[in-house]
Amino acid sequence: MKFSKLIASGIFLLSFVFLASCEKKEDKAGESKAASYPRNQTLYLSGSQWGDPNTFNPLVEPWLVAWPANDRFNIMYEPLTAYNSLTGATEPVLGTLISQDVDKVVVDIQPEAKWSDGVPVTSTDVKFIYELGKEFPQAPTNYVGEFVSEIKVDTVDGKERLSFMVNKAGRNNPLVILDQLQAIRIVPAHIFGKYLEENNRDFDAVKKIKCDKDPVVSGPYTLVHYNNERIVLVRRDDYWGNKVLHDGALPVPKYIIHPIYKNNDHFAINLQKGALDASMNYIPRINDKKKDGVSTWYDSPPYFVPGSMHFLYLNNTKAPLNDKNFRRAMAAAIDYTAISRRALSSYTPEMKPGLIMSGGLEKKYYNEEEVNKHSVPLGDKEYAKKVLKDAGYKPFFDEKGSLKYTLGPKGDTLPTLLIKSPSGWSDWEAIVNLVVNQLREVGIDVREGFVDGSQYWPNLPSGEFDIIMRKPPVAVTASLPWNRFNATMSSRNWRPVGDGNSMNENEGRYNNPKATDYNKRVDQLLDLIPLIANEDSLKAAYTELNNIFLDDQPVIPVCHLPEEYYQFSTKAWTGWPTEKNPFAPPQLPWVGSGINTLWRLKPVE
Amino acid sequence: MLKLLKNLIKEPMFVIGVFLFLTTVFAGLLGPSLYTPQPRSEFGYEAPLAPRGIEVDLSKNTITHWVVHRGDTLYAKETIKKDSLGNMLNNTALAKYWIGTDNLGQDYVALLLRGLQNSLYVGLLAGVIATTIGTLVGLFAGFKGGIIDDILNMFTNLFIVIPSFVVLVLVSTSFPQGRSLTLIAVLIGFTTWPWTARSVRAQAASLRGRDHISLARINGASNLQIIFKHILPYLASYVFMVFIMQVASGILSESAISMIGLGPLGEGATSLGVILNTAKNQSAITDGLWWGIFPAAIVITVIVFALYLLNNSMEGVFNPRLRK
Repeated sequence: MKFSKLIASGIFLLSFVFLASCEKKEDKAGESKAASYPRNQTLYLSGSQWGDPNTFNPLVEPWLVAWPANDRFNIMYEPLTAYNSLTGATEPVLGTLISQDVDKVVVDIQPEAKWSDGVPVTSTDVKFIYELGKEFPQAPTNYVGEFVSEIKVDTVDGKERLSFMVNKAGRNNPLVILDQLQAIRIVPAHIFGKYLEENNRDFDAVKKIKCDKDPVVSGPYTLVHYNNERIVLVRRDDYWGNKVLHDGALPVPKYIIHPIYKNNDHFAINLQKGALDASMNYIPRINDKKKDGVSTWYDSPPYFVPGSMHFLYLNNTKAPLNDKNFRRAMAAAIDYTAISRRALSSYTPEMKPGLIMSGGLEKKYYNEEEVNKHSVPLGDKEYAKKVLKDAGYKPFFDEKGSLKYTLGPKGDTLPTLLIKSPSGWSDWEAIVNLVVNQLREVGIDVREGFVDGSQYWPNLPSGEFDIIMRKPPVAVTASLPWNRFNATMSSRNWRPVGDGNSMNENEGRYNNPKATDYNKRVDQLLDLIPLIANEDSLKAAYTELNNIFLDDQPVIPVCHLPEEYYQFSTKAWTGWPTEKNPFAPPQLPWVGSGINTLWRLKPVE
Repeated sequence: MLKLLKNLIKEPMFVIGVFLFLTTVFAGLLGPSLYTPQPRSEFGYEAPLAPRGIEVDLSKNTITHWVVHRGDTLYAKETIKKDSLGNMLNNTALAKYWIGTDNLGQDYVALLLRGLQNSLYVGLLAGVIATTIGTLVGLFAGFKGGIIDDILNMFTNLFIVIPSFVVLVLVSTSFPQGRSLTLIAVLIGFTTWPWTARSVRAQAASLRGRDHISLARINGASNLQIIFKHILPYLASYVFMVFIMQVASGILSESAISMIGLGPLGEGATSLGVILNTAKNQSAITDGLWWGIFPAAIVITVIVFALYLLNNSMEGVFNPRLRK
């Protein structure tokens, strides 16, 4: 008895001492770090890291990797080129785009480009990451082979010239190769090649390396410290690009800190306090925060530059959604202005029908006359009712005017269609609430179907939904609006609805290639557009495809939102790009050519 | 019985409690059918709207108010000279958002009344379920004693040890679709009964050895007869008070799980907790949109406060040791 008590108290005491010592260490580290980040040299950006940072290994699946080694961020690992979403230009980073045609995309590697350990960046590094999928099917760049058949290397004027040959037998799509120049970040082959050798070419073993201690990078910043609350990057004063790309200037902030917030409200509070300099998440009523020094690209609605469309994907295989009249009635019945104003704080411009945006870089493909000819009038409830009536649908309302049920053309009662959306996504929830009310008014029996994320994501590729809220993973890149059409209409990988039958585009199963009414022109145009160089032919092809879209309405675009929200505070840093000073696109200075902002910021003393 | 009632009415706490509770019940039951919600505000840029009624500016002799033009769906804030009010009333209706609107432009008064109704429903149903289970388990355990008591007790203790809120959260997440108000109420009822069982058991056990129970037993009464005829009536007042507390905790539990986004889903499933959750999701707290949070919070507080008052005052009357 006595003995066990002694042991117990001993353990208790020990654990206490252990905890206390941990606390002390943590405190010390935190203290010294905090003291060494002066506000006028530190830029606070957030919105890209929500969970605890686990690994900074760029070879791991992007959704498991911490900022900024994941996704498209180019401040540590750089891509060959960066896309400027404002001008449409492909700007040089590790490489310079020389030419592009239907056979190949040609890029010169910057001869001055160097890794942080002094080794030059060469074609070996590029080939390493591009061809990784050949040996290791689980590599994050495993899809490249479908597009690039071969990378040819020549030397021209002392520069290495890379020719990315279009895989004619594969996807035959030079547009996507152009996208990949920005999407694929080059990693040091001499480091990761060594890791592979050390681990007997076991890729999964290499993925376990965290790459968080003195990583070898080519970009202007590198990782210095991280914990569960923040990730800290420090400027690399010997960054090769300062001389080559920025006339010898250094990026202004010495540190970039990404604080990790758990809650959307923290962003708004910290932006208003001036503790956060810019963020990329949705904050409602941004206009009310102007008085606290929070700004956006435009001073008035829509505040942000539209870049992506959010959709209602419709299950085209299920009655009554397989009837295009029914789908067209839905598109007409929705009040898009109400969605913009009530659900999205007016962050979207006036809604135009179709898959081509009427402003920005896509404007040159937008044919207003044709759009008006083929589209239903948006937000016209009477028109929607008429379309339904003409197609044989009979809605029945109770005395209060709320919908009881609707009979289909064959006299059958139509099922209640559920609009799936992840619960807790407040902007989408508001959109769905509004759409349900508006559609029920004209006699379309729909209901909210808010589901847990664990139900939302698997049901999307397998097509197990009636209607689902969806933002296709279409980045603002050189391939717009082709990739938007591809994401909503392509039946290249058509599979029937059901578990295990994934489709990663056209999840609503539009245009079944085996059906009698298969419209092969859609897939033809989708294959053709990436190969067209002549702008007039391109516009004609886009118009034809958009007309088919408007006639068939396989999905319903509900709003045009920015690809990435961009709101900044001028309390600690000024000189952000805006509509009036558009030296960089409306992006946080960590992706694409938005990174140029880092050289233009000015600290407020 | 009458004497008890007289004693109760003498208690000011009881009177206040009854008054508050009945007010909320009437508001909840009749409100949604009596009150015609103001039409949705079409003032998107300003939604959510702050509470406004008619603003009268005597210095300028004007009235500012929300106008609904009949025939079309235009709602606008209009400032008019007082003398033309009569003319205007002929072709328009006034929209008065007494407690403002939510982000979708819906009238908060209507939402609150509907939410109150649903919260009361959840609270009552959860209370009935929890009290029934708890009382039955407690009665049997206390009266039978021995091995049955041990087993039931173990069962009760097991439920007490498992944090009911965590169970509630876990079960709620496993019903992502079709979480109805009734389901939420049943879940709450099935997770909050153990304390009732425990206290009823203690009371029942103390009655077990009483003379009238022994007499009933000698007369050949069955166990069930004894429990329901001779024990339950002794505990009735106690069980009733427990029931009141269960209703209060049911309302609070519902608000709590709705507040974290696991509340009822679907049409008309607005509850007070759901209103709070929506307001929270729409950054009402950060942006200082108090009318999104406070009215619902106050209504919850009032109901629960009324129920506590009732319970406290009843205890003072029913319990001989506390009787003045």
